[in-house]
Amino acid sequence: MSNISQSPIDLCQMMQKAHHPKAGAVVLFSGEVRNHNAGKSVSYLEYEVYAPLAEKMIQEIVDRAIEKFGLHRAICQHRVGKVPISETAVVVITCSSHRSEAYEANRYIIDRVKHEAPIWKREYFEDGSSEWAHNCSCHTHLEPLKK
Amino acid sequence: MTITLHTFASLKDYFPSGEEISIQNAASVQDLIEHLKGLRPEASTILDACRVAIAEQIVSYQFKLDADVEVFLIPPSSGG
Repeated sequence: MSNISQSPIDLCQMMQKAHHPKAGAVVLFSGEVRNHNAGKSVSYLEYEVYAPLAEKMIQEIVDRAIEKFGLHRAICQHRVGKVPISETAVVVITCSSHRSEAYEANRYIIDRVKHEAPIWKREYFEDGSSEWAHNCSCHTHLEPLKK
Repeated sequence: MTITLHTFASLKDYFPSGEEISIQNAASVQDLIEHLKGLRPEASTILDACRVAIAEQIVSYQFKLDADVEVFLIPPSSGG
């Protein structure tokens, strides 16, 4: 399964792939497009990606999470292109024997993907303007990216 | 020597993706960044925040560039 999707993400289909007989806990995070940001009404978002590197980085993050949290399965997929309001832009599913690891790993994956994966969103507003979104602010607990 | 620059997101406002850039031989990534700042000083802040990828690997600013290499400038992410 690709970590980047050009087409709408089907959450039910993703859940079907995520079940594991050893998992007592399955946590799903759906990052969806909201209709407001910084006091402005948003019409839709559009995502640009450096796909070869994003695929690789997302998979490395997922693999690291599986190892770090002892998961039975983990999935992360990010949309590219135009994403309308209330549609899923990114999904993370984590499966573990008990819920603590599934919750922690899910947060770990989404925070790292937002911070590290070469993906950018452009916001299109109802007033006709658009702009590239600012950097994510969710990573204060993560290491600075090395250069 | 000549390298090909690939850019993304707001960085494309300053440097169109796919542009060929001439720099001195044996230049490092750091040298390239400084050269780009010289070309477009108004892009300095975003350039300083970029990671750089070559052959689908993030490289350090000390990495030496080969002629005709394709360099991907990765501005700060805003996915999710």
